[in-house]
Amino acid sequence: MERGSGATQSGEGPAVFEPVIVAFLCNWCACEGADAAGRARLELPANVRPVRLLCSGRVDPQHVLEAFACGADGVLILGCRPGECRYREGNLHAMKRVALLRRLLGPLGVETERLDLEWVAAGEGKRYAEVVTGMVESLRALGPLKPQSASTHTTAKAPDARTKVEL
Amino acid sequence: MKSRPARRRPKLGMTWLSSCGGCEESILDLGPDLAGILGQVDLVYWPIGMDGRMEDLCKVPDGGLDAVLINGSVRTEEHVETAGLLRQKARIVVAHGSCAHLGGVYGLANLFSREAVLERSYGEDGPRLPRLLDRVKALGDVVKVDVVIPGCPPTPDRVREALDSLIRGTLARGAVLADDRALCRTCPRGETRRPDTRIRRFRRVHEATLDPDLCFLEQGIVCLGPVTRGGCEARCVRGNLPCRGCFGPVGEVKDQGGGGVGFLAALLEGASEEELEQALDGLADPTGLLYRYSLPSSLFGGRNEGEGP
Repeated sequence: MERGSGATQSGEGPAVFEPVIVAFLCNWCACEGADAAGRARLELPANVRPVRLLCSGRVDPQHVLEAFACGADGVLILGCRPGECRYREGNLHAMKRVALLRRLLGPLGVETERLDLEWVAAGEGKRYAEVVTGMVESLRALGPLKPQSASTHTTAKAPDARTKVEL
Repeated sequence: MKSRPARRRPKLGMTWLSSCGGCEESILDLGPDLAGILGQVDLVYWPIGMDGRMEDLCKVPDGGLDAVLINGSVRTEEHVETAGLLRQKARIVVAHGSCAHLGGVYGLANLFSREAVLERSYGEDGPRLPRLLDRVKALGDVVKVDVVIPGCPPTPDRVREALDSLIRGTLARGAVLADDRALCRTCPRGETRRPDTRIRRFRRVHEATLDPDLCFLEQGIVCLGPVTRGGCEARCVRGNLPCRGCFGPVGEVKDQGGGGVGFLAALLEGASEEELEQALDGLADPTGLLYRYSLPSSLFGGRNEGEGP
């Protein structure tokens, strides 16, 4: 992924920062919501890179960290409203992780606004459009995320007990 | 290279980069065994223990050392140079201790800019140091590492294991000399953890009277056992202190902080943001806690560019 891939809008006028947002969408609600937005011909920003998962509770904190390290300016997790999770409490798990992740990310220089968890039900096309548009706007105000070059420390260099390399 | 007689003593080098000396101490911790080991190796380079000059090291032919143990994190340009030279001279490079393995405690300096670190430590009259890198790195970030002895500091058994296999000629590349399973699997308190425990508010060690037989997580104390490699003989837990993660993440965890967030979040009690924030208020400095030894080798590596906190 290229950071801020569309860093400027083509055409005249001042350059507008186009943030890259990785959005983890729950298959049962937010994906349907996004579809509903499309069917209703609502205007949607092109900044979102959607990742479909079976539940917002499937989002591992490491997925979020990796998205940021790979070039996302923001990460959005969209799940079902509390009480409506298909797996009973997956969305609640997502909420707990996000609360702790934000505290982890703060000292790393990742502002709270860059990680958001929202509830979007299956029919809520309009809400989906509002949420993603709102996030694009707040990230435009924040500007790009510039992590120090992510670690080059890889399993290729740091040996792993399971990978025996021949001498 | 000359053909090797069966009983040739392996040539060994040891050095420290940005280090507290604890890893050197882990060599001395071998106690009486140390004398026996030193009798079976040819110690060529060990600046802290004997006369060790760079120019002497330069004279060693490339690949002339059988192994080097390097401890400490990579903080200055001089460290990069030293590590590179030793890589050239040694057939096997061993990352000795958490700093070389993961970046170590010094890696927390990556939460600040290099300038802020120098300013805070020395004010305006800084000492004359080799140039500091922009951020602290693990040894594996600058040279290829063949073997890892984890730990802050490593236990004598782990060090003995490495040196013994070097002497026997069985030190294999690609090994992490630790358990690949989580510490909880070998923790003496492992059995006391219940699957349905939830924490209303985290407590710190000094805020609690600790039960010496009960899992720390059951007591609301953060313990990184679930995401940390075992192999340390649970020394901290036996001393009634929770695991802080110095052996590094278990094989399936890529980022110790992310893994830590995952298991701690699952333990949280609370169904609303207010309740969760309240529970988390007892958790002082989660970034420093979950990345205590591994920030440089985490997915982020350090703080973003921009102003410091």
